[in-house]
Amino acid sequence: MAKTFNTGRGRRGGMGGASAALVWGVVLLCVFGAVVFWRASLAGFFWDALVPLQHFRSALGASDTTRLQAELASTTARVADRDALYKENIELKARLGRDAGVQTILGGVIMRPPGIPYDTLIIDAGIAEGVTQGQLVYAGGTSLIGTVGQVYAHTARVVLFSTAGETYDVLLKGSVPLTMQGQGGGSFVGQVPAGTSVTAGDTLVFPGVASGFAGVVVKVESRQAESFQTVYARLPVDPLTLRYVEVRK
Amino acid sequence: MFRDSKLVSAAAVLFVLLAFLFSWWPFALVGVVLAALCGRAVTAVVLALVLDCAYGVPSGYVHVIFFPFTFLALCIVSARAVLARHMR
Repeated sequence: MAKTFNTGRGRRGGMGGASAALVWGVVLLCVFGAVVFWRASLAGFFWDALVPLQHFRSALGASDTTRLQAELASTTARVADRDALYKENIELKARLGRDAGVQTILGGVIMRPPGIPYDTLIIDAGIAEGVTQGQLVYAGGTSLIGTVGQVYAHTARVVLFSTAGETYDVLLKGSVPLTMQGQGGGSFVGQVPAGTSVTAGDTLVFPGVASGFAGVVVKVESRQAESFQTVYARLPVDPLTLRYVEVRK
Repeated sequence: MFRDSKLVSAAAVLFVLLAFLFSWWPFALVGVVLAALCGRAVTAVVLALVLDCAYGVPSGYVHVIFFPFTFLALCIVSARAVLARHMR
């Protein structure tokens, strides 16, 4: 009678598979821990390496149309900002300026939506240029578009105010307070009490004497028998065409 | 084609590179998902970690997921492993 011997290979094979999975799990945990610990450094290294490539790619793809679109976006922001400032200037004509020595860092936009998610921008100004986390970012004049989120050696990440889920307190026409919630892509939504005088084209500013121009109302929705009317607004400049930003110290 | 692991890994890396070349981040997402769905777990997780480092801490609604691309890759890899075991 033939005898069969149980060599235990199946059992050893199963244990070998479990050991391999355990080793892979430990390796993955170590790699993940290292990435978490050195995330900022790795991101800074990544963007420092990518900046020359992006500049080269932008130069290749540059054309008169692209240049004119970027200039138009910048000019549109400046015109809207000037209109808001003119109205404020009439009211504040007798006052002296509070701060005339604002230092500005000019940053070129390397990556913008949809090249990067989360409604953020990557600019080519970082720690070396004097940028610090939390500084306000302007598109031109007093058109405030976001804040500096993370800073790397020579680049920085700007989080736009229109990021989906972010909320900010603004003043409608400089007097009516409301809370705007970002919807992404440069858009906001907020609510004001029914009966509030608001139309498309009205300006939104951030509270404070040295306030920034937050956006422009593009649509107002009001329904009968409702206590609030919905206000849709946009950033003063289209983030998809932004080419330069100003970081103010 | 999807059984050729080298081809799948190469395609995933290519999609991530295209995301930066054409400035459209969904290409990067496609690369990570492709690698994870085709069983290339290491490739998917490594690519996802690189993307999470590059794009930074998410803002807005997804800020609670500190590493969204890595989280997505691990979810797909785990789901694939569970489904593969149950379908044997």
